[in-house]
Amino acid sequence: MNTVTAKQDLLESCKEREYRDALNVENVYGGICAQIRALREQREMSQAQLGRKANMAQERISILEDPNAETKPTLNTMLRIASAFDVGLDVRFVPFSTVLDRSTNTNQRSLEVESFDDELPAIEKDLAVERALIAAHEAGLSAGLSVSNLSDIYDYVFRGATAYSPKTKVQKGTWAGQQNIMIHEARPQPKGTLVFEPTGLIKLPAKEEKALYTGEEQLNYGT
Amino acid sequence: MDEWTFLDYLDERNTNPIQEWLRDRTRVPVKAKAKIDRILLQLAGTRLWVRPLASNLDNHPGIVEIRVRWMNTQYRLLGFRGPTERQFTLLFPALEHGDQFDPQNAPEIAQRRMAIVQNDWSRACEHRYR
Repeated sequence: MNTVTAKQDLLESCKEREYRDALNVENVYGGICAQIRALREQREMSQAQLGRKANMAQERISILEDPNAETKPTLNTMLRIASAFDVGLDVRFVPFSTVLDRSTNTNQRSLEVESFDDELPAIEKDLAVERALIAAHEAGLSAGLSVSNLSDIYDYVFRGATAYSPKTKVQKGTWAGQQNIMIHEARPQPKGTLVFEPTGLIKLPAKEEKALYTGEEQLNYGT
Repeated sequence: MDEWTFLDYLDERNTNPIQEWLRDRTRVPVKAKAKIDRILLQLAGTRLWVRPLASNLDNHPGIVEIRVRWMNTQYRLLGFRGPTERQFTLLFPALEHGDQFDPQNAPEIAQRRMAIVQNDWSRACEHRYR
């Protein structure tokens, strides 16, 4: 069965108040059980090892992973487990569409979460790309372009590039006859230099008459 | 989802005893139904099933029980992995009191049904969550 069919089935059942209240309960507790196990297996930890990190007995971890257990985890317990895995915990009210999504998207891989240390490079990269986008946006505006908002730019950005301490340069010019903004990011080189490499291409709306281009250049790194 | 697809056994009249049982509120209250649905969906997304949620039945080769506890009732969904890869066919729904199935011959019924489905794949249909 595909996810859409399962979701459609649950939606029909959820039109009954008692069912959707019950599904909400099962989604919270059943989801937590499954995710604790998924996170533990992702880290190749035994229940005893997780117990030691969370300062809990192995038997308690076993209960936490069992959706049929009578004892339900408290918020404090979930925070301790989050700390043991070094991940965040997000407790919030959500629309039922989210409950349906989470009830049907149960693949174990989708439950895995990186620890803070593992995620850190990606967080920094994303922030760097966002800073580059803002700079490109501002440069575009100062060059007379009427890019309506930052989200327009986001749609076109190539986000696979790795970036470190990026500096974005946007200049007037033409590039391959296209009406584009080329985003360049600075990559640190040996001997303390930066090389600007193209990492993103923003295609402007058809109405835009101007094109922007940044040539490759080198700057002294850290100055 | 994706790892496993659940199927329901169909009897000789092409009726679905699994769905009939799940829709019978006197046997499966609506809150228990929600829990069964959620656990089946969870298992559908889990490649390797482990105890206590699922386990092979001793003395009944091929039969797997899925365990769902709601309030003080122990539901046992008996089934088997098949008829094709990454499919699990629900064969017979039972209860457990103490160490006894209710009905007591639930594993034997499940084994008979397993043989039927293995010989005739049209005797199973896709499981639905409604």
